[in-house]
Amino acid sequence: MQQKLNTFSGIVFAVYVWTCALAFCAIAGLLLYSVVSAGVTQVNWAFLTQEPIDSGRDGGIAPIILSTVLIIGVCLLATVPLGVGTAIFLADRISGKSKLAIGIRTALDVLGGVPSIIFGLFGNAFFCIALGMGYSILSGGLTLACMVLPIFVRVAESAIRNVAVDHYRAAMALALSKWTTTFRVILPRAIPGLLAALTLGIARALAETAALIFTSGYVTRFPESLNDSGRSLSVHIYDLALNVTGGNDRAFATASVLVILLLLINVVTHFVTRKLLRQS
Amino acid sequence: MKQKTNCDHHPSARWSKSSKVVVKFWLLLCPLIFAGLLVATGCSVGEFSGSTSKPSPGSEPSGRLTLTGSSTIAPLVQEIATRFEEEHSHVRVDVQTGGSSRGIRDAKKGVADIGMSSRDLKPKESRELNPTVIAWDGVAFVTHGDNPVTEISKEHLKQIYLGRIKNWSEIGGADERIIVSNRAAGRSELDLVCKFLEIEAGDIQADIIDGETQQSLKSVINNRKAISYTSIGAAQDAASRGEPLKLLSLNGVEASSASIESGKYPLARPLILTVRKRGLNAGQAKLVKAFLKFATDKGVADVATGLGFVPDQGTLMVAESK
Amino acid sequence: MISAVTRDAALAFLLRSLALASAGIICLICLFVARESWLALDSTGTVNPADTVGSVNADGEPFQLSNLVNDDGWNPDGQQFNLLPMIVGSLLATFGSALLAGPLGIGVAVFLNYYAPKKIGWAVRRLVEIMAGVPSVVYGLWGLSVLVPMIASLSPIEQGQSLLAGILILTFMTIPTVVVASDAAIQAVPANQIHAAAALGLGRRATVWSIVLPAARFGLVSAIILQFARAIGETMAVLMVCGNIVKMPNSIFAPIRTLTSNIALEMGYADNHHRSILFLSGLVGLVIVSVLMLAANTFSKTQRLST
Repeated sequence: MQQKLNTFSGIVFAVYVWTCALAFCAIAGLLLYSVVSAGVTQVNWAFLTQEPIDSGRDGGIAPIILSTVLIIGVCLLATVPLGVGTAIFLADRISGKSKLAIGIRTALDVLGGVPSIIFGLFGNAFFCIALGMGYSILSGGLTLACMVLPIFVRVAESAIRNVAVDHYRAAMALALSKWTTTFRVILPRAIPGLLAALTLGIARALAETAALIFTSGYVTRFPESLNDSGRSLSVHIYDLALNVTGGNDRAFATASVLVILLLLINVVTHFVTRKLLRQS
Repeated sequence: MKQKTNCDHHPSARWSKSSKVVVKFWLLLCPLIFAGLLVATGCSVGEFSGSTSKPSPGSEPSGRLTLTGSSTIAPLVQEIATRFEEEHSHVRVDVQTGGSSRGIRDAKKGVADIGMSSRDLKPKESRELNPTVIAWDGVAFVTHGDNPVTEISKEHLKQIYLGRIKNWSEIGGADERIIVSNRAAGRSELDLVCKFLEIEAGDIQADIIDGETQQSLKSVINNRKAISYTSIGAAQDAASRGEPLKLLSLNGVEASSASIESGKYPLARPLILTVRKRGLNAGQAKLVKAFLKFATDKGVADVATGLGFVPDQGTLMVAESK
Repeated sequence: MISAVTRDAALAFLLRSLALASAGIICLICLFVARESWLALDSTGTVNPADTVGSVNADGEPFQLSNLVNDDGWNPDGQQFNLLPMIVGSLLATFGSALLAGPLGIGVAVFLNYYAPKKIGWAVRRLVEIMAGVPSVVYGLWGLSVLVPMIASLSPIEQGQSLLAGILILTFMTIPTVVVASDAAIQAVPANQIHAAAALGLGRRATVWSIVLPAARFGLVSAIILQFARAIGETMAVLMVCGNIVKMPNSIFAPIRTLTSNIALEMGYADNHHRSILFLSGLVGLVIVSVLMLAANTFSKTQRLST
């Protein structure tokens, strides 16, 4: 009887899990298909290498791709050290349970719930005006860093927290110093999880629009330095889709490029993760 | 702390001692973290606004112009700016968006050299700012292409927007509910329509409120029962691309760019650039003047036409910075 | 050579500092939002009774904080600023999407780790990560042209822009976050526990249900919290599919406006008092999120201590 019940609940659970997966794939497939089918026909070498002409309805998106890469770069440069440090602190078996840690965790969760437009206005007031960076790739990247941090820390924390149980005890038994435990024992084993956090962070950063309109700006020229304003792919899509008359097709073309870019980043991260896993 | 192992097993004991000091320390230094990151990325701090006119060779204008404001005008000005840069290789024009009010604020505060606005200046604002009209846009009432109604009167519109006419059959359409789409507070289209229909924005009974132009178009394209109002240029363009969309004639006047040009169409709004009356330094003022002249020149009229706007005929005031 | 003790102390200091700096960002943002909403707060008279810089409402009375819940509606031109319908709208849309995206996302994560054939799992993971990076404006456009007409054909009030559309779009947008976060948590469950389960002859369902999910609970709670935060902060897509009418929704087909889309809709076109009230509504939103998050973290802490 018990056995039958087990088999039955096993089947129900399997059906549920498969349904979830199929539902997700159906939605994702539908959405990506409608974006890519509307846009991919216009993506060609010229589109990738030219500057936008006629408000983006003609020409290409080369400077926009460059700006996007730079913005993401600045964002990661700020997020990774800050985020990994915070995650180690929060995941620590002693400091992570303190009142301070709960406070920090809550603060980060609240940060995650701040509307992107508030990030944009804040970034504009703080980075652009107060710190004098102006509309620039730098202020855009740093604003994005504030935005990505909560996601990055949460995922990184759970990666570090779960990896370390046995290793942490072993390190304690060996009387290893905190420094050694952190850098030689915990971090190397958390790398796959950290990469997952990074991928999610990059994805979030690539998807962001409202925070960037007010910080990295709207300029479609090739950026000459990090102090120049540069338009990101998502801002370009937003502008073409909502402000430029007849920009819809190009908006979908740009979205297709974004999807392809995301695919590339993911596949690369995946293989890096696998290589690292094999090594360790 | 003689024994190293002691510290490793109970780091919390040591950490909590320094805790309060550390908290205070960092609460003060938090803003500096970002400055530190800035240095880490190895970059010098840039100049925010465009007040960096260098001495120019000859009379050729040079320097950097910053424009902020209305997202409706931004694509137009961005394109004009690109052409301006082609003619004056020492000038960089940065166009940023963020809404009409932002443009006016930034121009007033001097954060931007020129503000872009799709609404007229309020009396208080025009004390400090000079407007220059660069183009005109109309507001058309639109319905789905399959809707049999082709024409509408001011009185009917008023009743529809006040929620008194609720069915298309009352004004000669099919027996279907009217889904009324309105625009968000502060948009110049809303102000214009309220003034025209002589109603208060707060009395409008809407089913949908849209933000940007293309959003209001999509509300109508995707629902056969909807009525909305939006930029004539954008609506004409969408209709000409085969979208199921119809521009309603208003009081017998066709809603088209031609009607705005001839001055017959009642719902027109100016697209303006605003400049501070005082406070620009001489070099910057010269650059701004050159740009305004360029933007109102007949040579760039095709840009406005291309985006569905009506270029200004030059009959309206062109600001002279005095 | 630096001694291990100094090095450890330095590391402890560094980590604590980084953690505090991360937390400091939200303080800066709160300060900024408070400063921008000062005009509205100031004109309440609670801060400075003599000052009437702010506007007066339709009845000629100065703005009070209680106006945010007592006014007749939201009409900035008529100085009516009732936030209540938008707070309710935000919470309904967010909780609705959490109810859908949580179980669905965790289901997909379990699928990826315990049910999926290897190649399918690989493909689905890539799909998830791509979906996480699709800009919200694309979700919004898709929602407006596919989802909204679909709902319109079902809706008793014949329009698609509704609470339901908002919940669904938020669900689609946030599932990837839930999947990636809970996938990381499930993968991190120590292999020896699973081997032990296998040795005991537990089936797949029993292993997942009674070993993996409990062991990964911190990560799963994280995933839900991330989802919630993401959903409540989302602006652009919600703005495009919800209809943005400021009214208490009376059914799932009724249009709503969320706090965030209100800010996005009106901020660029607001000045003085109106602008300041919009920031104040942002502050209200932050307070609501803080209370919810504090509750969630305290709850998950007691959970952890009790097990």
